[in-house]
Amino acid sequence: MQPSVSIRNLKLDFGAIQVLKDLNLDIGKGEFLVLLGSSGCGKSTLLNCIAGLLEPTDGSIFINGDNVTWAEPSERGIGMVFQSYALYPQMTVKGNLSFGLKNARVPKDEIERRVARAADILQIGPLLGRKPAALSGGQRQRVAIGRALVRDVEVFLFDEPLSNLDAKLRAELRVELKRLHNNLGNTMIYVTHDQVEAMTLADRIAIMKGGLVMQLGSPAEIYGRPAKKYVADFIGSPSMNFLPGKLRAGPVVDVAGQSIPLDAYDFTRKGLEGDVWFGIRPEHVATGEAAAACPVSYELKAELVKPMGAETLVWSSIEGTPFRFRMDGHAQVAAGDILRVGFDPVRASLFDTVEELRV
Amino acid sequence: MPLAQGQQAWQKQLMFNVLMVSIGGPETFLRLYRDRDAEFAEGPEVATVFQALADARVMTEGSNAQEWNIAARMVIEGQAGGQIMGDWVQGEFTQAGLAAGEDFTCLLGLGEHEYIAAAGDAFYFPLIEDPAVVEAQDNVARVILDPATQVAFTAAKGALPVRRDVELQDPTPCMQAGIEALQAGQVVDSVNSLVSPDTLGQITDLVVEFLADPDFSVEESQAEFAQIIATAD
Amino acid sequence: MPDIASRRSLVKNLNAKIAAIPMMLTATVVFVGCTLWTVVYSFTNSRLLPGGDWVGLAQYERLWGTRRWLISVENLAIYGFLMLVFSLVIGFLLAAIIDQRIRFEDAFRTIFLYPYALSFIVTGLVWQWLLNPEFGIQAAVRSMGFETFAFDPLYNSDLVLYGVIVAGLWHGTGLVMCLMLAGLRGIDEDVWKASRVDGIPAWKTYIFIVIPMMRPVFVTTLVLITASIIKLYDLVIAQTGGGPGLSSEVPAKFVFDAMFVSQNLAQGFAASTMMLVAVIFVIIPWAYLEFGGKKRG
Ligand SMILES: Nc1ncnc2c1ncn2[C@@H]1O[C@H](COP(=O)(O)OP(=O)(O)OP(=O)(O)O)[C@@H](O)[C@H]1O
Ligand SMILES: [Mg+2]
Repeated sequence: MQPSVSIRNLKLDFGAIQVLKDLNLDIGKGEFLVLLGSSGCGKSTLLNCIAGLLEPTDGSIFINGDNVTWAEPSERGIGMVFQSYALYPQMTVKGNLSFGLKNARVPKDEIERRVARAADILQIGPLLGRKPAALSGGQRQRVAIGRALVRDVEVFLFDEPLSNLDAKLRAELRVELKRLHNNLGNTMIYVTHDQVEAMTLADRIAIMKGGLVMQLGSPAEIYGRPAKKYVADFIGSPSMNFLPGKLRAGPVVDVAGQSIPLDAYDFTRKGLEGDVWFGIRPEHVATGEAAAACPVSYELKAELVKPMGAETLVWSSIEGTPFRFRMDGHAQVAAGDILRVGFDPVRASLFDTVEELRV
Repeated sequence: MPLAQGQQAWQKQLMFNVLMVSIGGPETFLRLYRDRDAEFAEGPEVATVFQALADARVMTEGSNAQEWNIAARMVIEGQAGGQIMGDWVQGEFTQAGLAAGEDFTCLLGLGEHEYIAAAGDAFYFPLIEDPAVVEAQDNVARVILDPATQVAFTAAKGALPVRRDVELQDPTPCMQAGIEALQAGQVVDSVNSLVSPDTLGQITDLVVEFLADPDFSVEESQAEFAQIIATAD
Repeated sequence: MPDIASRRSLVKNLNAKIAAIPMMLTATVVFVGCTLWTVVYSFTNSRLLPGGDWVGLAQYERLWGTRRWLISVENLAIYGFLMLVFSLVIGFLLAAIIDQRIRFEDAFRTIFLYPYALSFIVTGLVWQWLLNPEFGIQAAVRSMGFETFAFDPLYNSDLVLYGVIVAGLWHGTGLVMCLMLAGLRGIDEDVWKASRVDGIPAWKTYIFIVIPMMRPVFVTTLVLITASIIKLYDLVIAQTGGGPGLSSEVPAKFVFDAMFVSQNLAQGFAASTMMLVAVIFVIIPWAYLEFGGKKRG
């Protein structure tokens, strides 16, 4: 099937700074793609290129098979929602929704129809007569989404639309966005640096760093089989523990004085030997009875205990390398306690130390 | 152009009142400004003065200088035929190397009524007890009025001395004419000492407007003038 | 008890209150007091010194029968209207051009703002020379061979006011531009992006979205321009002296001349009171719109 949006060898420089470097990406029809990455990695820049708000230095962008690299934003069949809402403050909600359409000389009754539909979908009907200043943050963002909705376009672009909202509202709108996507079936490209948002919303996540896509995959893949140490480190909070190890034939990895058999580990690259990073997520570390049952276990001293309610985070170290793990919220631990921790190497991720790619 | 004219208001007022004395005559002048005879101001004598002012309006057309000395320069350089100004303007001419009576001449009272409107600057000294300072003040006054000072000063400025008893060293024909007029008692008070600054301001505004606007008729301006004289103080 | 409470509230922040006394005195005595004093004495026949007898509205009758005052008022109206319109339009256009992130932006901004650093006196003199036929633009063009070229607006009663307006614009637009530029820079970039995505042309975005968003900047600018219009005096003095004739006279000059040249204080007071009334007529509807509307909305 033809991709909805496809990006070919996209490059963008701001003067001497290369922000996007030879970026390739295909987004399928109706897909919800999340661009995730740390601040300054070029997410907004990429989104603006797709929208046509920035001119790429090189490369091309296709939307629905048309080369739109040099097309005006309004002619690309996209709608966009911004972090700061970017509503027109002197117009009513209705004015905000219809201004672009009026300008495009859409017939009056058609405008009415589209505005009514958007208002219905987003439940902003009662707000149509108000000015943005008289709306709450969540309502404003709904209006901003409505403004993209009335354009009747194929592709929606979101640039951190929820990051100005408080946690509760963010969770609510997240659900609504997901529902909206299910109902409309549009292609959506969504920029965020909130992992939870990315995990819950995305069909696929593109992890970006330094103007390149590090990994593109489903949330489960990104989380479970990170392709690079950077991705593994970036996803998850607290982030993955990395212990230095030595990979030998067997396959076996020596970590902190123990030889861990990797018979069940799903290798990406077979037959590699030498120095590796052995990565294991804090939430995949078991303690107490369960630890004893694990193929690998260690005795550790808790250095710092951080109760979080549902769970408790414990900071510790293995042979000088920091090691974090999660315990149940009911666990009775204090700093200085000696604990037994264990994990199953099946859930681990191994990376070589040179290119830091998944082994 | 026939007549050079600086654009500043006081110069226009000066021209008007020179016309008033020399065309209208000293009686007219005094009847207006001293006696404030508004009825007379509407009469034919004053009408001739306004007619003369209207002629001057035509003759000064294109005279764009602001300062009186720039206007004088237009005469000196031959761009203008003449200028109506106080006796001090002589200094400009002599400084430019022109000789009175040869290169230029003066027409007291425009050759009609040869009267001088006398005005002078006054020096005021603060009342002070200290005898040393008082003596210094006396000294200043003495030096200023000293005949020798007056001779030297008037020679440079081109104006008439404030004392009638000084013998000017070879006065120019211009100064000579002035001295003769003074000695014959052909002097009127300056309009400044006859009417209030307020009234003079109104007259000035009228003259300025009249000279600037070619459509401003003689009759109309005379009527306004009479109105000012009626309320003058 | 209530006695102690009230004393407390008086003593509270006593230092701050004492410190504010000079300012409060200045505001009430100097500003309000002098204004009232001026208005009261405009009903007398004061000459060189305030005093004289009560004459009712006589000064106002004379004022509105004075040709020079009428011309001054008309001139100020024309100057004010054109100055407002053009300095806002030109200032905004310049700001909009510079806001396109053109190169050498700082240089342009400095160039345009520079005239504002000059006094009106200097501005007036510069433009008097430029527009002077003997050594200004006319002389320059003639020296290039166009012998019959004539351009002497300052010596033409019908044009002189426009000569003053040009100088005023040259002087003031830079500031307007800087204020507008600050306003434009304050507009969220995302709004621009949103309007581009909506397919709204730039000029429409300016008119329907950006300018309405810049309302506070416009109000500030308007107040500054209006103040400079009403106190217009030194520019005229330096550039035309009110001439030719009375054709570039302005109210502030009328006031000054009445008080200090004609030595007719009461007439000057009457004229300045009329200026005050004009200002009030402008300010009250504006203040009503600006502050009165909010309570209802
Ligand atoms: N107009 C510009 N001129 C120069 N550099 C720019 C410009 N805009 C962005 N950059 C740089 O490009 C890089 C990518 O910026 P971008 O806005 O795409 O980051 P981002 O991934 O969206 O970050 P965030 O999560 O903070 O929004 C940053 O290093 C930024 O400094
Ligand atoms: Mg961003």
